[in-house]
Amino acid sequence: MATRIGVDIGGTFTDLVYYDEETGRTVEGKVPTVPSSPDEGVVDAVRRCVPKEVIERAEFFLHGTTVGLNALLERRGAKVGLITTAGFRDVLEIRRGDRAEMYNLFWKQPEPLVPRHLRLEVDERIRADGGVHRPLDEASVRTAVAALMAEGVDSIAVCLINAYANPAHEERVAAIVRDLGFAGSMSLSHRISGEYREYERTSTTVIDAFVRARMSGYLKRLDARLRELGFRGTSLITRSGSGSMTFGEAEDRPFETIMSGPVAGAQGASEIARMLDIEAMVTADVGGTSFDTALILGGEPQILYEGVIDNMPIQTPWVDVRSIGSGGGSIAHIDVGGLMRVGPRSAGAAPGPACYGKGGTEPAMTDAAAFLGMLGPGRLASGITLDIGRAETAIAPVAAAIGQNVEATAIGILRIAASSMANAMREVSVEQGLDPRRMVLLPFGGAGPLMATLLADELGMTRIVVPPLAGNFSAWGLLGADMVQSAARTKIMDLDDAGLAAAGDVLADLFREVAARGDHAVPETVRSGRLDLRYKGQEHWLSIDVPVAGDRFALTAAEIGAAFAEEYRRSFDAVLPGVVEIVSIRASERAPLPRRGEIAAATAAPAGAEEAFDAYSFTGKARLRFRVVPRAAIGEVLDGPAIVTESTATLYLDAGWTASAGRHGELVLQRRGA
Amino acid sequence: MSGFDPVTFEIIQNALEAVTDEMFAAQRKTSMSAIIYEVLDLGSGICDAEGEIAASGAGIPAFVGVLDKAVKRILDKHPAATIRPGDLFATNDPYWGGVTHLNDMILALPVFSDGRIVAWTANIAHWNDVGGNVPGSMSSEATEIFQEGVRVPAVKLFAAGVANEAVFDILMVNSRLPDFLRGDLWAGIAGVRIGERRILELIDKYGAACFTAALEDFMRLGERHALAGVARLPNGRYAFAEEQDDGAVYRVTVEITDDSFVVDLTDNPPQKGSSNSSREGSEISAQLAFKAVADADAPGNGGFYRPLKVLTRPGTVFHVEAPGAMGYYSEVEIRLFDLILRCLAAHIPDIVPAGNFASICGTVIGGPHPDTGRHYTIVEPQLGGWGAMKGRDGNPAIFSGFHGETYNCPAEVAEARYGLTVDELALTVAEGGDGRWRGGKGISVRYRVRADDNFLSVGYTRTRVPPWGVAGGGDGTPNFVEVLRPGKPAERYAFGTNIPLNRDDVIHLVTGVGGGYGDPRERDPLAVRRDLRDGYITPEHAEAVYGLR
Repeated sequence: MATRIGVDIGGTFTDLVYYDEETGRTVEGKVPTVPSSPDEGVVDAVRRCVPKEVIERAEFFLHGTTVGLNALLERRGAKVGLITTAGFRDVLEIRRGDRAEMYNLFWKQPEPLVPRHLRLEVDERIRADGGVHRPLDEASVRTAVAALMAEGVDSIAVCLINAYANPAHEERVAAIVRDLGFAGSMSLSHRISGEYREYERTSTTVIDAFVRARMSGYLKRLDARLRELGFRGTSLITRSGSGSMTFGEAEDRPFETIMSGPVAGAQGASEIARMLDIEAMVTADVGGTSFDTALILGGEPQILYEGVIDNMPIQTPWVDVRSIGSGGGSIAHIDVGGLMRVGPRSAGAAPGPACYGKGGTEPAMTDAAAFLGMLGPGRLASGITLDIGRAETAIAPVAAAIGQNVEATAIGILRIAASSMANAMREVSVEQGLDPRRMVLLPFGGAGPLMATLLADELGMTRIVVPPLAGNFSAWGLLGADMVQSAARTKIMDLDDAGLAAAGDVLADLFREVAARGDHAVPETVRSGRLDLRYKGQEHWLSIDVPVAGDRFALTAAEIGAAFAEEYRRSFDAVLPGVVEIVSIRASERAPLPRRGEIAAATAAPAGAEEAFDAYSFTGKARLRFRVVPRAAIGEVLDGPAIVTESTATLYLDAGWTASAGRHGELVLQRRGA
Repeated sequence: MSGFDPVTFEIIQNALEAVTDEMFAAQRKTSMSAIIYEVLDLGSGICDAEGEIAASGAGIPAFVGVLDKAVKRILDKHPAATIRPGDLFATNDPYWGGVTHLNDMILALPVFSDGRIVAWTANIAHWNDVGGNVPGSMSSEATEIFQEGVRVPAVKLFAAGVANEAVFDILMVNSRLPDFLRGDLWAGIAGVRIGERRILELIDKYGAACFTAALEDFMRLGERHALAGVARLPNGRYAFAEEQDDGAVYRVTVEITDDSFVVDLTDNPPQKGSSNSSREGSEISAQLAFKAVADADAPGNGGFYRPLKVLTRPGTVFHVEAPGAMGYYSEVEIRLFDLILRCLAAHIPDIVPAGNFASICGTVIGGPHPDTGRHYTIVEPQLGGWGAMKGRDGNPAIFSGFHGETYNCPAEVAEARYGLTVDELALTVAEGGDGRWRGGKGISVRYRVRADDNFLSVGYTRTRVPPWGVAGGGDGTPNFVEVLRPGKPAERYAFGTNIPLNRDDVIHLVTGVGGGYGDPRERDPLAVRRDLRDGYITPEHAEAVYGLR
């Protein structure tokens, strides 16, 4: 039950939750994100919200950030030079030739991260079986490196054909790069991904090279600032594929954190689902800038092994979370066709929505909600007092442009935002053939509880669970992130005794690789292994969890074959007679964090006595009298319409909904008559 | 209709698309041939009880259009009253609902509720070898369909749930690659069965009447989108004629009114060799062109295509009659698709980008694997350059308009699997497609053969008449294939069947640069300098064509 601090940086706010072992208390805090210097926001949050003695006795600092992702999306990363095998200079630009919009002749293909003049070839060739087809021409390496150094690249990525099968040439290229005095960072494809497919591996390697310096600088700065505040424990950052890794490990493998932004929320949601025994759940994380949604089945998020960011593939495990640019700060505007749109541009933390009175003048979704009274009388827990007049002034020009009054325009802004969020939720549920109406909605993030009943009504859902610390839920989710390291390698062999023995050698090798990465001493780790298997002749594989004993697989080839057949039948309704083949071997090592206590949240609501307030009801289609109730005061059943306040979020409980307190500090919302 | 709420309709409609995606994924992931699992030369869909397409999955847009036509033909031959639950139909014969060529096998499964057909799940996939005169079954020299492989004329593969082993046996003995064929057949069966299971779940939840009403509502939605799209296009009668690589001239007239879009193909050359298309295939080309200009984002269901009419004359390349061959139907269909777009572009400015490499560039390589001796076959389309448009250069190296979510075979996969060496996979730097915005580059691929007794078959068009520029932009460059043998002069091909290859021979595939848009002298000098720096153009070309000094 070690003391720990979790800080999650969102596009608008930086959220903090700490658990103090001495008192058994979980405490939350929230400060504006500083986009130009996110570490400032983190340090500020820790200094302001966590007592010095708690910082000093904390064993873990757990962090979720989109620093790497933002660098990538905004193309603010290193100037990367790519060294590749002769004949393959254009792999990044040729991609796989697919057209994402098959009927759209005007579709635009993404720009490669490295322009052609910085993609240089060296003469060498490894064969698919690892044999050397043509030795490395070291003079060609020196020419290429000299050219890239002359161009002033910050970082060199090396991705040679078939390096997954034999890394010798990549390693030699790296040595030459260093010999020639290149001082920037280097990313070698075989260390990034042991899997085949040159475009996907090159893309992953280049992404790593692109974000490496920025991530490393950020983590080093942040760690140093935390030490200055008196922190003496281990600093951890979330991984895209769930779990966490140390800052040192993340500096070495930054690409593994790229898709981690929304993972802490999904991780926390899984914990809630297990705690409350909820079989199927959809999350709705509404922040200031973005909306994230994930499907949690049987208490687990969905993990995939190859992701895509901004049309670029990345070979790394990741938790399937869909994101769209819609949140409390999303700005309403008029498009070229004269229609009103909401987002994706956001007012962010600065200047923020107009009603925050910090200089914002454009109408954000929060302004519309404030104008409609959905946020209550106007004293937000974060200390902000809402200025409804400013909200109205900001909405007025948009209202004039569409020929409506401010009230109707504000309603429209909320409905447009809710409908685009609901579409993303359909993508993770309906489009997987699953009906969201039978699922539980878990809203969180600063504006999640505000949107909860609107979203549920859009999708016909009847049950909502508002978790404790909803406004800071991602940071809470961080506190449970075990340390994880994983590695994978493609080695195609038949699944027989000899093949399995060889796969066992690879597994042992991967465990050694994973252990060598660790810069932390962990007393007890849990190892797991997977085999990607297919029928010989197929290309796609199923990943099968295979128990591990020591550093070897604990089952026989026949037992693994039977498990594969079972999984194949479950997935495809058939079993084929053919030989089963191993494609890749995956190793993962998890170091569980000490368990923490229940969420005994101490949330002080700002308002004292209960008030009443006029606000717009979407189900009643008119302004109604809403009760204003502090969350802590809810006991048995509260009937909507009501506005429920807590320290970091405001719950809008529309007419037709009821709320009651659950056993673990959660609020359970039920649609009346359902 | 009354009594069903629109939200339920929307959920069912979204679920249908999810089901077709799941059918697609199941077939792709369980198939044995790279052309299915990697190139994704397959399509899956759900039709209503009468065979109108209701929803389609990812893959090849040109394939989705086949499924409704196939189901309707199956219903012609097997009246609904004779169909039993557990029946599963197969057809690959263009004269029996197969539409394309014998390599493409269509499976269709009627979904029953309360003893009545409520829907069909169907899919189509390219099989590497179905017999016939040549390995890979597609021959540019075929003149009759009998030379192109085994014909499956809309028969029951399963009758009331029991496999018709005779059909399985006949298929197996007719293929040069029976193991692949069996795997791919079972992958297709898995696909239609998963679709059936999911549809039954939907019916279980919402009732058959609600399900059927949701399909009807979806068709009307498609039709509304199409009519709105047609209304946006300028009315008129537009004609265009284009010379082909072999000197033949293809002609099209498109007549657009307030609520109809008529493609007249009656004035075209007689059928010849194996480069012919069935009437249904020509309809698919017209559907794709119609979709692109009317509303690319709308659901492409049967309702959407209601405003479209296609006129053809039997006995022509666009309406082949039995027993005409059609192994290379796809090159005829894509020529027609490109011709309709070019016709519209000539009359309606900026309606589509400049011309692209517009060929499937079908490439078949096969023979014994150098290490194992096991016979392998690669069947793959190629990537090429696309045309420029107002404000933007064309895309480099993407698949033709007949492919969508299609992926090329990575060099590392090709080497691990086939034992070929891939010497090069690069952009071509051929000169062409110049303009204020320039055409995207095509590709240059070199496959080195490592064993004797391999073979190559190719079917490329746009090998002489290049992709078209617009608004003063230059034409692009043609597609071609070369065979480079040690110490011999290069052999150049457009169509070729069973070209022998031996150890260390190199197959060099080159695809075209797309057409340009506007006067090259008006190109932004910064863009010209960037192209120069990136090696896409030479200093001489920059000066001569773009006026860069």
